[in-house]
Amino acid sequence: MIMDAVVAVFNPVCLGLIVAGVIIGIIFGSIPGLSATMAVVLFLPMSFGMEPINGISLLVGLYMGGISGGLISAILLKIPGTPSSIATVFDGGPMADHGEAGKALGVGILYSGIGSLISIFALIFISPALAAITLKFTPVEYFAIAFFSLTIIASLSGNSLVKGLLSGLFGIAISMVGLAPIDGLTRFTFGEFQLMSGFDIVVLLIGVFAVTDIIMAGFDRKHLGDAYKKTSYSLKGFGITWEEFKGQIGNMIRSSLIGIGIGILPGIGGSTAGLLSYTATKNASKYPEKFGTGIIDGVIASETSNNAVIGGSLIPLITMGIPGNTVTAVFLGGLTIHGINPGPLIFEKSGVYVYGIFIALIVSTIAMLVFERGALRIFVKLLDIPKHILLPVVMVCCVVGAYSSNSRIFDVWSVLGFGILGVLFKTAKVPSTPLIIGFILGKMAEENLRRALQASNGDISVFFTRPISLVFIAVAVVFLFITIKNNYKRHKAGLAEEAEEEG
Amino acid sequence: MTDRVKNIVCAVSFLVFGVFVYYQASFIKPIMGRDLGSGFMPQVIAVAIIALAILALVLAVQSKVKDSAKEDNDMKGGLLTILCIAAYVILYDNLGFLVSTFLYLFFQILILSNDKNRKIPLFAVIALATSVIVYATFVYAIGMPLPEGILSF
Repeated sequence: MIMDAVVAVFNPVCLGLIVAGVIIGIIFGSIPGLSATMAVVLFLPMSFGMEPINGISLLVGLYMGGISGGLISAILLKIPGTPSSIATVFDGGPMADHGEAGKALGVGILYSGIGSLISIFALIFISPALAAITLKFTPVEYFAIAFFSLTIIASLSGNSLVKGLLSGLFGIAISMVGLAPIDGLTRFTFGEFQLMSGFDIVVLLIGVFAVTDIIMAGFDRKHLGDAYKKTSYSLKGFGITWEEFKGQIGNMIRSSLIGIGIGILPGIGGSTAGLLSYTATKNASKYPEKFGTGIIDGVIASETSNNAVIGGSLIPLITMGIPGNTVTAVFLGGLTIHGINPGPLIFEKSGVYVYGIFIALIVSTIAMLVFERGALRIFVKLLDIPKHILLPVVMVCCVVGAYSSNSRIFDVWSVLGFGILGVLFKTAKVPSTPLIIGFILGKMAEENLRRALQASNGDISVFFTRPISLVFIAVAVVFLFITIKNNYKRHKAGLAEEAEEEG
Repeated sequence: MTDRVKNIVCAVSFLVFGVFVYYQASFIKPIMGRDLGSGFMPQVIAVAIIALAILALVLAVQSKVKDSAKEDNDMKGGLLTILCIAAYVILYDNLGFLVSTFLYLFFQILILSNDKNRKIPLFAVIALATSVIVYATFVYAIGMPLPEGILSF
């Protein structure tokens, strides 16, 4: 099976798609205003028409490039190109001020690659073991995990717990439009036959993550033409000496582990991983006072861990079908459309594709290292493309993407509708990540809840007597309690609330 | 609109939405024995939305949140963008991909540009080139049909 996967990935078309994906991903990641999520979302409909392994490899390349590209603008413009690179600005920016922009870029790219590789190996070794455990799961456990994931995502994706939860519940509510699970009843269609099959996840994602940003650009058009101050750079190799590399091994391992852990947990994402690793590295450092003045330690911590999130986030996706962030939510769409159902049986039923994903990840890491370093000058040039031209072109891709998933104009209208919804959410500072995850997990939660209760003759105690389910529900409740406490404290302190988005 | 008013409007909207979902779901009856029915989960979600929306409303009314820096949003730019996209969707099916995309791109770029960077001939060229390249890529390279409308190749 592994050999089949190797053959499938190492064909010219697939390799070409990975490279194209990585390059486009880096462009989307590096330009502020475009994000890794946007890149993966826009190309998802295109992947439907391809051979499964080719389509998935394209998405893998986009994810890898998108997360890695953010460091270019984080260092040269001091604006994170993608939210994952927020912590890169802390030391990358000052390094650029001291004339070390080239070194910061080189180190950032190298450690993005290292973080990715370490997390891919974690993915390869952890997921089969986890799949073996999840094989014993019944609908009771699946419901408990869906409940757990939704609670954590809603609590963590913004600063207001109530708004996060409302967003998640809203996502569940719109997932209920169309045919219900189990009895196949039609609900919330209001006599509109187009709503029979419900809303497509692609349509929701394009709307909320791409169209929203374009409309927001309209509201912000006065500042759209503002020129950034771009630092110039010079760089040889990756800009790091062997001695420096040896000194950073501890940092590298710690940051990778934090990234993998954050990736496995639902809803936290790359920006938190970067910030956490940065703080952890600073606390462990012998010279914490130097952090923020422009040292490579900070860039390494942030870039290693935000890329390590990639492998980590794919672990629950592959073994349980639970997407922890928006990009993996898109991946889930890409896998299911090709008939690959993530879950404990994936290694037996679709082994070739799983190993294909592993190999594509490794290839795309190498492609990222080669092209982001090799074509750095071109990516830096692309930062100059004016937004007022770029964003309309992205909008055309949104419309094409929405239309081509089902060839119906209804989906294009829905994209606009969800785009406006996203604008309203942004204005009211309601985070939109819980909306997406709620939309995906809502169906899963309902189906498993109903199946579990059918099997237990309506006895809800099954959720508390089965140990795994009890643990997940208990952790979710405790976590919720802690978040409420923290929120209450903040509320008392009168701090203004701000929703932070994950891209 | 101040942050406080925004929060109140947001909470009330969720409240109305929750009540609407509950009302709609109350008509769905179980059709299989031993099953909760397809109306159960929507009702649970609706009740949760209503409860949280009321909580959000109480918090918003009580809040003494200081207003964040004065927003300097361009209402006209945002609304024109939404109108422009809506017009694009209407024309997409009727005029076909090439013509509608050309028109959309041209006007959208114009809306987002400012006095300093407004170069009308350049915008027209970009709009034309992008429409043709995207059309050719999808129809010939990927094999995904796009609406032909009045003009195609």
